[in-house]
Amino acid sequence: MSLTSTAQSTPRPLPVASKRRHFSRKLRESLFWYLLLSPSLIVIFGFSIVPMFWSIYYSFTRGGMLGDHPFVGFQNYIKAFQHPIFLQTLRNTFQYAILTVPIVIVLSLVVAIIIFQLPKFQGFFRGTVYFPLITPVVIAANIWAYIVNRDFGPLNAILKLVGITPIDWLGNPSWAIPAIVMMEIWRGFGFYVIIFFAALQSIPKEIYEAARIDGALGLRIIWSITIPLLRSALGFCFIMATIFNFQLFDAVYVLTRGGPAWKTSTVSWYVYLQAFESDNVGFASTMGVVLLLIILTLSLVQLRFFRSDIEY
Amino acid sequence: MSATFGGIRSRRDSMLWQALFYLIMIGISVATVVPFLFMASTSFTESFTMMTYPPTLIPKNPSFDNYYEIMFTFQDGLFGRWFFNTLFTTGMITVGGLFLNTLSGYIFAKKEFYGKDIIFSLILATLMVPGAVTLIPTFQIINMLGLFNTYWALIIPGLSSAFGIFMMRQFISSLPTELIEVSKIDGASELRIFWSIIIPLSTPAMAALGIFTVINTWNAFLWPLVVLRSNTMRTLVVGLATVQSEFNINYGLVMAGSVLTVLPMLILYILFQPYFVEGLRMGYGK
Repeated sequence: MSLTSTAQSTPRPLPVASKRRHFSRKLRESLFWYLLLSPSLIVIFGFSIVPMFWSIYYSFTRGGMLGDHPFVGFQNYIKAFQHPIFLQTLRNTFQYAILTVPIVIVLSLVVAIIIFQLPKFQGFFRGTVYFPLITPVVIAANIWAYIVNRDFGPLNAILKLVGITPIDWLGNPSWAIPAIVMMEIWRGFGFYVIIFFAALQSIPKEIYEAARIDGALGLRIIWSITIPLLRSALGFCFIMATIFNFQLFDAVYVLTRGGPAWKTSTVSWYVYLQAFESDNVGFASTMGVVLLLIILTLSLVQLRFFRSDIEY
Repeated sequence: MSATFGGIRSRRDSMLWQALFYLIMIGISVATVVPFLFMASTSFTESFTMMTYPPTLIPKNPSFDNYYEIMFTFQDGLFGRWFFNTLFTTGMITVGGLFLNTLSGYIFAKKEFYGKDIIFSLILATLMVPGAVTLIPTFQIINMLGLFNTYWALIIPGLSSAFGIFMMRQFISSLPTELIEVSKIDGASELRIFWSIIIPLSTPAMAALGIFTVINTWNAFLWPLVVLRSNTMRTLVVGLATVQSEFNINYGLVMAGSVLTVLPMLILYILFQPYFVEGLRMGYGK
């Protein structure tokens, strides 16, 4: 190890004679690295990328899990956009996301800022708010089913104390989505708290010092310094929250199975039903691809919107 | 760290604000944790006294009956089998995944080869692909390979992940390249460098990725629901979700099973909490 300190700083001399030798060496090395990468690449290509294109192909065909898949052109897509249940699940999916994403982001941002202010127990509070995320959605949803139960659930007991008549949360079409949204917020907001907290820690203290000398006050500092500096964290959280919430499945499975009258069904849930219970693979794939296009578009738009050139 | 945002006029005001902040945080923490206390409480309650009104947090006649039943008598110890299934598949995925993701992360971080950027962007792009799209073909591939209803159906697709590779690449990029160059000159082989230099230096990131993998695999639902169909092959989460409708078993029993499912993750979480926060930060890439 001792005589190498000079060797590393001088670039290895390239044989002047041939670019070609360099090319073939790089090719050989590339093959070696691909060999080592191959297990990972086989898994990711085999179970993500290939299935994605396969699904896109299926979306133009008709058929079940087994057997032929005759090509039908855009028929499935035309059918999808005239299909009342699919359109309902699409509306529901948007409704979940529109209700959940802004609330969860604002809530977790406020909580992260509050925890950041505390002189003590920061770690404890971060640990507590993240806790629901280590539990399976299925179990969290099971607990939630009890919390919002019409007859003996604690939520209605609390509402009764303030004089509100008990609500049949999961059985009433207009309350079922809010009940699931509340669960998603409760279970998920800790994730974004941790992200925002990490971002807050990475803002240099001098920036605040400077602002204070200039006479800026608490809320104003948060609004005009902290929030703009959190732009990339905000972008990350918005995109993650959008991707997660557009794929809602587990909670629907446990809490309502899509009912009452499809009012809580999501696209993912309906794809599952069509593929594994109605054996309608072509149409299920079409709906999946529509979901993919929506998520892709929203992610790219958000990526553009939140692109940050602030370096600190 | 206190009063970082400054601007609070007097000391007395600032004390009041701090007190208010603590109150808010205690309220939020209670609201976050109380539902789980209901779960624990229900699991100790005998079924006929359970659905009482108003709801209580402390059961009147606490008993371990539900635990005894779910662990030993329910369907000839089916729960134990689920526990083993979950433990085994989670273990395999975590160990295998850590190795493969670290290896691939290292190669993407430190090596130059043809097609690197394209391949890496493709891998990252899979993060945006919803499960609903890949579900059907993935299921068919597993079927074609003859792996339906086997442990391998869970293990193989979990062995590598875009998130894992990305996280390890981020971390390994920050390690000094000189270290690798030096050992290369000393004559160490590539695999030796990976094994005795990169892996030891990457342990913090690997610990974080390991915990994420354990928790995600332990809690996974949709994929195990689809590829494991017989009762004895189910994982804990799928078993608990499907058992209620199938056997019409009582709520207390399900809650006892839920507590036993969450408990290992809770212990892990408490033990590894610092890595957790660090890991999220690394994954976010800041």
